[in-house]
Amino acid sequence: MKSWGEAMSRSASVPFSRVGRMRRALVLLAAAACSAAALLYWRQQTDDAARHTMYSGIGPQLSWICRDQRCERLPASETSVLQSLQTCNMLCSSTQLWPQPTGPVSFATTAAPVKASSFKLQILATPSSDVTEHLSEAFALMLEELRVLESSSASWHTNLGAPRVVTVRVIVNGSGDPRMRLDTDESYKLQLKPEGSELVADISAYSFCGARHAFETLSQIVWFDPYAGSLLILEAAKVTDAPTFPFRGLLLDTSRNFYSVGDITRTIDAMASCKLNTFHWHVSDSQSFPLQLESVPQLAQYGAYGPGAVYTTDDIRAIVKHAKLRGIRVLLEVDAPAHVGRAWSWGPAAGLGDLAYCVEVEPWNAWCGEPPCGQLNPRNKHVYSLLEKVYAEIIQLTGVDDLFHLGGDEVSERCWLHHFNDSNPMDLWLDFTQNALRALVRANRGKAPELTLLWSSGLTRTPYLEKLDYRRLGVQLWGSSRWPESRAVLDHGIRAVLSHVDAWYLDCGFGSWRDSSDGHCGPYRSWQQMYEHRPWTEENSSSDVDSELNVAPPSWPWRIEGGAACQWSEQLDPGGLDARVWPRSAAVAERLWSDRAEGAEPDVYLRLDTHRARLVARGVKAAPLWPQWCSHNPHACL
Amino acid sequence: MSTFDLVDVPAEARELVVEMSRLVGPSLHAECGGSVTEVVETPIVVYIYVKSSLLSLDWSTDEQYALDVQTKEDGVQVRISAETVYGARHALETFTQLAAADRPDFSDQTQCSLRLVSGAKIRDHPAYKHRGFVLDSSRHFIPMKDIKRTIDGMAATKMNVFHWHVTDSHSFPLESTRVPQFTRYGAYSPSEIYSTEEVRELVKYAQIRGVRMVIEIDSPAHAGNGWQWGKLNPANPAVYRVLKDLYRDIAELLPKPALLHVGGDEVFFPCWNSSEEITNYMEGKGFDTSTTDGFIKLWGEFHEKSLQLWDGEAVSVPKDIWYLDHGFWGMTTYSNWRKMYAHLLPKENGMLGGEVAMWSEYVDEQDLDTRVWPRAAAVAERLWSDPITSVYTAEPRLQRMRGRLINRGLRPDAISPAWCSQHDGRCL
Repeated sequence: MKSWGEAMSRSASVPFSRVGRMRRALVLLAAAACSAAALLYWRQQTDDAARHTMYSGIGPQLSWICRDQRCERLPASETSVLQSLQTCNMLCSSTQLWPQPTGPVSFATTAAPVKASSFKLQILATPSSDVTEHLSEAFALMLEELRVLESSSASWHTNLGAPRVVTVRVIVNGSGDPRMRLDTDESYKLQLKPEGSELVADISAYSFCGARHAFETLSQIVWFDPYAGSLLILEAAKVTDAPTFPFRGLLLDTSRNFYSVGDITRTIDAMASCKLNTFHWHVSDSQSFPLQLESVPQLAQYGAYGPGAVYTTDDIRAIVKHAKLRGIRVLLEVDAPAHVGRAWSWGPAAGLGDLAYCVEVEPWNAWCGEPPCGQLNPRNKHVYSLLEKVYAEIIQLTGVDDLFHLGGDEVSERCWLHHFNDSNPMDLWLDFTQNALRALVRANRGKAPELTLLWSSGLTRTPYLEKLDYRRLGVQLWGSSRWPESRAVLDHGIRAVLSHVDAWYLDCGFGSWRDSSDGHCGPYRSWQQMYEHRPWTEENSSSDVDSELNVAPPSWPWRIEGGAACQWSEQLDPGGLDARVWPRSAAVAERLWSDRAEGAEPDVYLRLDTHRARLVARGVKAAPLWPQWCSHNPHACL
Repeated sequence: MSTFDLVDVPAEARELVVEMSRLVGPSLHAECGGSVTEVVETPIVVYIYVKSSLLSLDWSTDEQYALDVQTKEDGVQVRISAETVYGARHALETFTQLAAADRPDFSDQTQCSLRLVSGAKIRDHPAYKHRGFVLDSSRHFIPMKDIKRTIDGMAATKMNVFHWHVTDSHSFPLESTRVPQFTRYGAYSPSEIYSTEEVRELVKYAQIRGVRMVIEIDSPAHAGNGWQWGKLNPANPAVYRVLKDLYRDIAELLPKPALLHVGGDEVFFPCWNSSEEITNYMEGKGFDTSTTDGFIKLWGEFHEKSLQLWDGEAVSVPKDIWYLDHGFWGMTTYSNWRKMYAHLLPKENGMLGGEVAMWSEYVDEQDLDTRVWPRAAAVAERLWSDPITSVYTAEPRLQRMRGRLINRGLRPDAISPAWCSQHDGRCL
């Protein structure tokens, strides 16, 4: 049996394993190195070891040994190596990073003890004081996470020697704007290596967002070992990384049911852990309007579920700041012209005429898709001046002026026909959209945002598709990836964000919430299905779709900006939020960041299981992937 | 605020009734988020009459009760009369549901006061004697605090059997003082164990809430975690000595008559249908039955009470409808509360009731509540009331029940947009 001290003293010749493309071959080396030494503990008795009297004086009963790239659970009595599951996972086989980096990765197979307080930040180069401040705050957030991890309950304590100092040296050479922008370069390089008795982590990035992603990666090679009662860090690491898609989002609907600011910031924390960068906040709908704007206070006053279910401008600013420090933009969507409700019912009393029609009209199923109904009045000019105020305040609150979301699906033709029988409702819709876009330009100081998104709808279908100017417009495709109209948008070369209902809708599978209808969008989408969704690989396939449409495939290349998982809240509120959204959104996050050709292979199960544990440790109530026994015995379950 | 007067409660039952009545205050305060700011001086006196001195809770327990609320000049009189303490407990539970905060949902007010109905006359009894909930704590360890919270939800919905599938091949978290090897080798970790002391406390906790514990452990033919400290050879008489010790430990935890569910597993269950079958089974396998007498005798004791339940269709556990884990794996389909509520038990003689089951392959403490509630509450009403009215008429009450569960610290799933609970009958 070897002592910990001997294992730790091997730092001079740290064995490396490469992952990424050469992962499989070289991982074997790691496995060999792992069984050679890595982490050994003296089995020792401690008084505070166990809470059950039966167990006092007895060391860990289980040990995990890396065999064939998997950790195998053995009774401690059958092995001389006493290793915790967490440490075995970190040192055996693949990286435990989520999402998997896209560039070359190499990791040491030895670990060193650290403490949260032993990390120091040195900013060597920065383009602006704004970036400097953000770096300091983001670093403090990483340390806070490590502190929480450090305070996990340990079964045993092993003296591993003094914790190593980790100096984190950061160079940001690029944008002085810390915001997540459409043109932000999120790539980064991270190199961790021993220098004397210390460890030095060198981070270089072109933006604050890239550097914070490096902090995130660094925090993921730190773990808590319950047998040691200490944090450990890989002794050396080299990661080169950049996202595949620039838009990586999660949509949360806070209209159907209300969520507290704490629920939202916790969701943003989880997003940051898997490098998602867009919190798509579907803040209002026909059911409620919780956004308490200073410019149009009536909307929340009439539309919120109650005065205790609103987001004040202070709340929004706090959420935006929280997100910004984590490399996340807040895309605040006030849906229009459909999906509106009582929030717009005060027009006549205020002398503005009807701002909306069909509000809460009965029977709802004759007028709209779900109760209650409501649709803006496209012929009331006050609607557009109010929208301009709403848009201006959203841009001012979120600080996002290069990207905007107008909403825009599921218009009820019947509602408008009822009030404007002289016009084609589709033309009214087109007019509405163009007027809303003009209001947006005015709200954004005369400049159209670089990209304004619309939901896919009848308006993004031929012949209306051709009538909109798509130079600065994009479409968020929520329809099934199998629908011809979903593909048609892509074939027109329109910039697209994918939220295909057949893959990335988190709300499906819970049956109908109404007495009278069938199940809501079919079965539950498993994390595996979400992970394996790669519709962009079909770009050049001559699909059945084209032959059905009987048109030649257009020659425009697809322009997919990325995607977003969608959590609509008809059947969700704070109680079930975390378990519904996580870890499935993490699966989408890796698809959008890494886009590995492999599907949900064993390596993915292991890494996602580790990431799920990470989320739970960070206070997110993520659902388990499989029986706990499988986390203990991955070799037997995969 | 309220006084409890145990007018006519047998001496043996008084302590239990006192403990049951202590839960009323917190349940009422929970309606105001734990803090009632506007307190009125109106005295409320709850008179409790219990006839029987029996404290056992089983299929013969009479759970009916009468509850009367009357407002008089000098205060509110509440009269509860029941055959058993458990009937009285259900009456107290109903009483808590006759009060509500006067503060609406989504209010920003900090003031909160409680309002109680000014008059009520309720005569109530369960349609089924066995209203059960299965929790599997083997696939994932479920901490004690989460189990207790689940029992709180059962009490709120008048369910009365907590069927604890405590061990399986995955893990063995139930401590046996006579055979400590079970947990030492079978638990996920030393902090993921139910100690004897904790289980004893839980049994008491459940009893105060009108819930009986049924502990299920796997049959010895089902080797798994917990058994690998000795080579599990069924022909080895030591196996039976160990089982005897284990069963004895569990029997000591449970109130008499103990209900121990031995291996309800689909595969092995038929092997354990009767003592005779066990003997035949063991002989067929070449076991020496003479060395297993002790075990069989002991097993027979449990058999008498437990197997009549688990044998046949006496308790209905409709897999396709009342399995809470379905819809998340394989080809299974999710049943929402409507489907669970609408399910009628087979009309058979001797139908004791049913169970709604939470298998934990894909559930742990993080998402337990959201999988179980409020769907288990829908099943609870089917089992208590067996109503002939529709799902539609139940919805506003279930919305209210869901709010009550949230107030009491559970995390039930939403069943609709909040707009629907603010507008009864508008989301059909």
